[in-house]
Parts: sequence; structure tokens; C-alpha cells
Amino acid sequence: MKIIACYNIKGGVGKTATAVNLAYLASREGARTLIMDLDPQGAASFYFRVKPKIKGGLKTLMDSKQGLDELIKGTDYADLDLIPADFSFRNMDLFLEDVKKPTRRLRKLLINFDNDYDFVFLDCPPSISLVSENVFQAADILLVPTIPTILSLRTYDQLLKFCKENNLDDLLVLPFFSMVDMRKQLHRMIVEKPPKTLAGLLNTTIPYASDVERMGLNRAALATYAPKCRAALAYELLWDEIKECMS
Amino acid sequence: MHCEELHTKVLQRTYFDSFDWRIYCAGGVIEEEIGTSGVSLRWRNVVPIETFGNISINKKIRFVWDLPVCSLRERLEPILDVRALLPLLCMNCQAHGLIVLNKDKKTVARLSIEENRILGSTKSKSLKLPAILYAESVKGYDTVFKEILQVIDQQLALEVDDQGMVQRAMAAVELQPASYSSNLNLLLSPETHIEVVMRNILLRLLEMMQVNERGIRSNLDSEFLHDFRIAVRRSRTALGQIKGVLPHKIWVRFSRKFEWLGEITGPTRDLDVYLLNFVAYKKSLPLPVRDDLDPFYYFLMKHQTIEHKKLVMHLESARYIKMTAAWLAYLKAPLSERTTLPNAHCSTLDVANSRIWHMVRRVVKEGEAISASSPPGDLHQLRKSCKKLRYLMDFFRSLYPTEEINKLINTLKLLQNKLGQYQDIHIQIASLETYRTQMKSESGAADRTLVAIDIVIQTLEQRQSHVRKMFKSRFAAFAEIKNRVAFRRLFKPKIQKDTLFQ
Ligand SMILES: Nc1ncnc2c1ncn2[C@@H]1O[C@H](COP(=O)(O)OP(=O)(O)OP(=O)(O)O)[C@@H](O)[C@H]1O
Ligand SMILES: [Mg+2]
Repeated sequence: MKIIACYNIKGGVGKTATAVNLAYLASREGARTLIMDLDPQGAASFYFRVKPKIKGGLKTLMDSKQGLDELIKGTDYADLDLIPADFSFRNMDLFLEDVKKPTRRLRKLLINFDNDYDFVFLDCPPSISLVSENVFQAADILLVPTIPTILSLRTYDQLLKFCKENNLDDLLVLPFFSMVDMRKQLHRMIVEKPPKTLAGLLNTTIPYASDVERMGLNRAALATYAPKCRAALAYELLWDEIKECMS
Repeated sequence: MHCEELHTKVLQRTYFDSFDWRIYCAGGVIEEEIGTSGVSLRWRNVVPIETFGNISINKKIRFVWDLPVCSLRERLEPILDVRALLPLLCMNCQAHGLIVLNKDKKTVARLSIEENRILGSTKSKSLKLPAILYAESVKGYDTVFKEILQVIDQQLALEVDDQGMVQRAMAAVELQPASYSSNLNLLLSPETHIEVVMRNILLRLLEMMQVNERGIRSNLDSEFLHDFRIAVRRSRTALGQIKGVLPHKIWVRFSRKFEWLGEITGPTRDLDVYLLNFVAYKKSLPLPVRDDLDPFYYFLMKHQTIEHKKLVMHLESARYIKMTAAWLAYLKAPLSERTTLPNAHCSTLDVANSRIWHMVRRVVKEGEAISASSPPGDLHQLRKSCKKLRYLMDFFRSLYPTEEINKLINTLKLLQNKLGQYQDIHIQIASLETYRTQMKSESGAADRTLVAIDIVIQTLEQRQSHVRKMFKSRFAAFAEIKNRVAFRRLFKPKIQKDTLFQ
């Protein structure tokens, strides 16, 4: 089982779009795939038409004795399951502060699925917090969608610094450019000559495309309604590249 | 909640199993499905109805090693081993896929209706099976699923299918699952005269030889010949160990015939074994020279084809046909009340006890006499005695408490495995040397290939001495006091009659 987290300190960079579309592609290849919606806004749950609600909320989720099994919902796609978000997740930080080994809780919960899934995708909320530390401890890969702007690059440096300080050497951090608009001069400049600080940068870039925005209307993965569009093909390339990094 | 039709598919499905129903015995069957999107293969459980390890394929899969590395292969490898997948049934299937949606248009359950028709049946009547509705729940929507089942149950009033489509189809064409097994499965009663039981054993063995003939002739897989040879060896053991029960003339005549059958089947079996071992041989070589061994594979293949042809000729010869017919006629002929044969009217249990006990003692004696300096021939002799003991225990298994005899058979099996390993390696080394010479003289084999064979032989020699070292402890484990007591308790004749059957 490989755990892939879609994460960025910044909001609105395409984390959820990436998690949903990659999870769909993985499952389409027959890999047993789970996507876990950690964001109280519940965007990933919404895309899969699952109510962002968990009976008992955060408490049920974090109850390591019960396990996460009961919370899993099958999606419209074979081999793709989801653990929905709940509004109570907004208090996850506070909750974690009170448990033993607060940064390793998520890892402990997910390890139970080792035989059930080939891939687990984590759709993370923005910001850097105890929740994100849990994500870093649990994940094998940290996928970082990055909009090619100066501020985005700055937050990426912050993230790397954090990883270094916390000895997260086993975590493979893979940034890639997301929502790229080549009409914008700055995007063009950064994408064509990415700064060296973007270590591990993937070759694939995801273009800015209205087809992606329509995921909200269609409530479905991009490849199901616009399989041949530029962005859909870009996600396929991205997935191939990630699989390469894992092998 | 409402229902939408997703698609209608026309599929052709073929079901496979090995000749001896290994997959069925493990609860499943292999399903090949041809549809518009290509050919796929999967495991289907007979009941409960579930599939596993779906994989798309682009060539015919006969053996497990024809499959790419995948979960299906992983599951099949230990079950199928070297057996070929043979088609059981071919059906046309019209499958209607439906989904049940909630008010968010989210799939909460999947349904499919399948109409199956069996193809290629000789019967003129159309073999259409009753349509089946499958309902599949979506994880996390159990309450909805219960409602759906209720609707199906109450409004459609369908019957629950607890048999499964595959079994239904097999029944429709009168295909009897698990009808062949290489186990003897004889049910004997202790008081029956041994002459009756002996005939039954030999009849069952003849039957086994005959059901395997077709598979040998078509060279479907190597196991047909293997089972045939086991039946021949078991028959020889029965004849050799249970004496004074058949008229001497018959005994001499058929003992010779069975010896002949052992001889004519040997060369093909040997080549089969080397072909099966080839992958392992190759793997024992260092990577850069592995491909050098390939000409050896073609050499083995060529000779297997030649020897197999000869074998088929033997099996189709008048000599073989006459022999089996005469044997069958003799075994089926009614027995007369009186007999002049010394042991014919002994009770089965007495014979079983005395013969098994005799052989146990022989195995122990031979095993104990083996030291580090004993020649390989001694181990070979011991292996043969173990085989005889094993066959005797198999013949008479049903006379003894199941748990106890199974335990002893397993103990014996462990010893046999070690001896088998040793003996196999010994024979392999000898044959590889012969083949090497033969290859050199036949086709002027490349030096690279000869060197590769030499390396294989060296590796085998190392393993042989390793296995040889293990023998002492293995035998000690077999002959330990606990086992001896168990053997004695189970088999030692109450009245000392064993001189009778020497
Ligand atoms: N490649 C793209 N082209 C155009 N629009 C996109 C693209 N990727 C994402 N979007 C849109 O941008 C918005 C934010 O995307 P998304 O929700 O995936 O980002 P996020 O990083 O998960 O945001 P948040 O931090 O709020 O969770 C959404 O409306 C989405 O439809
Ligand atoms: Mg998001």
C-alpha cells in the first residue's frame, strides 16, 4: 500500500482536483484505491456525491480501536472507495493535541488497510498544523500542486524547511506545476526555467482549464466526462510519472 | 431511489479446470470472458458467487506460467501446479448492467441480469439456463441495499439461487465435478476376503490408467502420464506384496506386462521432468550465461516429442490393447466359491496388518543401516521400500482410524520427500551427463551450452551433498520411538501370521 498525500500550505492550488483525478485513474487501472477527505469543507466527498458526514464525527474517525472500516463508502467507480469528511474535522488539531503520539495518529489508523488497498490518496486541508504533521508521518509521497507564482515558491521553501527540521527523510516530496496559464508571463517564465529550490519537480504540468472547473457541476472525475481534453491527458501523464517515481 | 440501465453486453464465457478438478476442489473455476473490450480471465467462486483476480489477456493460457505475474497467478500456482487448464463449458451470456441511484444520483447498488446459454452441446434441445439477477451492494450503503433486496424479494418474487450458475450449467450438461481424483479412495471392510479386495484395488488402478490415456495421447500436460505411471507402480506393488491370491500363471503374466508398461513410459516421463525443471536449472545459472542453456531446452523438447510419439504407438499397439482387455476380463470374472490359492480367503485386515508391518520393519532396517559412506544404491533401495509402504497404506487406509493413519502417512511422506529429493538429484545428474554427451554427438552443441550444463550439474551436486547430510536427522525423525510405537499399535498383527505372505 502506498499513501499519497495531496498537500500544499496554500489553499486553492488544485489539491482536491489532483487527489480526485489521480485516485480515479489509479482505480481505473484496477488498483484498489481509497481516497480520504481530510478537509472539513468536504470538496472531495462532494465530487464523489457522498455526504460529508461521519456519524460521531471526529471521535469515530480517531477511535483507533474501531478502525476506519465502518466509515468507508464505495464510489460510483469500481475499486475506488472514499472516507468522507465531516464538519467536525475543523477541530482535528485540538483533538490531536490530547492524544498519545499526536503526530502518528493518522499513520496508525491507515496502517490497518495495508492489505486492502494498493493506493490511499489523502486530500488535505491547506495550512501547516498538527494535521499536516500527521499527513507527513503517514504518507509515502507528498504531492505538492504549485501555482507558478513567487508566493507559491516561497511557501514551498517553508515546507522543505519544515521537513528538514522534522527529520522527514523518508517522505518523497514531489512538487508539480498546477493551474498553469501560459498566457501569463510570470507563469511562462517560472515554468520554462523553474528555480533550483523546487527539488524533485515533476515534468508534467497541469494546465489551467475550464474543463477542470466543471468537475463541480458534473460531480465526477475529469476523465469520465472529458477524457480527451488537455487537462485530462495531463493528469494521466502526471500519474504515469508518479508511478515511475514509486518503482 | 431509482434504477438506470448502464449497458447490455454480449459475452462469451468459457470455464476451465484441470483434469483432476483442482480448482473446483479449491472452491472455484476459471472463467474466460470474451467481450467487446477484449479477453479477460478471472477466478470465480462456485458459491458464494464472487470473482477474484480479473486480468485481461491476449493469448491462450494453458498453464499457470503462461500468466503474467498477478494476483490470479499467485493464487493459482500452488493449486494448479503443472496441470493444464482444460475447457469444461462454453456459454453465451447476455448481461444487462443496471445501477441504483439515490437522490444525489450517486450509485448505491449495482444490479445485473444475466441470460446464459450453453454452447456446443450435442443435445438438440436448446440449453438455455434460467436468467439470474445479481445484486451487488456498494460499501457503506447497507441500509439501502436491504431495501433493494426487500423489493426484489417481495415485488419480483424471485427464487434465491444457492447453487450458482456454474454448477447449474455443469448439471445441465451432466458434467460431474470432481469425478476424477488421483487418490484411490477405497472403502474396504476388514472381514472381506483379500481376493475380492485385491481385484477391486487392481480394477480401480486399471480404471485410472485408462482415464489418463486420452490426456497422454494428446500430450495435454505431463500429469496424465505421471498418474498413469503411479497406477502402474501401485499395481506392481499390489502384485508383488500380496502374494498367493492370484493364480501363479496370471500373476507371472501380468507382473511382466506391468514391468513392460513401466519401461515404455519411463523415457517420456524423464524428459517431462527435465522440461519442468528447466526454469529452475536456468535460474541456478549466473545471469550472463543463462541464455546459453536454451539449446538444451530445444534438445529436450525434440526428444520429448520423439519419445512421446513412441509411447503413443505403444499405447495404440495390439499388445497394449490386448493386455488391458485381458486384465479387465480377468479382474471382472466371477470368483468361484472354492480356491486352492493359499491366501485368497484371508481377511483383508490380516493381510493389511501383516504386509504393512512387514514393510515398516524393512524400512526401519534399511534406514538404520545407512551410514555416511553407504552407496547411493542403498538410499535408492530404501526409497523403493518407502514407496511400497506408502502404497500399501494407501490401499488399506479405510481399515484404520483416519486420524492415526493420516498422521503416519504424513510422517512417511516427510521421509519420502527427502529421499525423493536425493534420488531425483542423483538421477538428474546422471541423465544430464548422458544428455550432454548425446547433445554433443548429435548436433555439435556449442561449448557455451555444454559449459552451462556443467554448471547446472555442479549446482546439483552441491545440493545433493547437502540433502545427503540431512538424511540422518530426517530418518531419525521418522524412526523415533513415538512413531515406532504408533506404527506398531496400528499395524502389528495380533496373531503372528506374517510368514504367510512372505
Ligand atoms: N487545472 C485547473 N484549471 C482550472 N481550474 C482549476 C484547476 N484545478 C483546480 N481548479 C479549480 O480551482 C478551484 C480550487 O481547486 P481545488 O479545490 O482543487 O484546490 P485545493 O487546493 O484543493 O483548494 P482548497 O485549499 O480550498 O482545498 C476549484 O474551483 C477547481 O475547480
Ligand atoms: Mg481542497
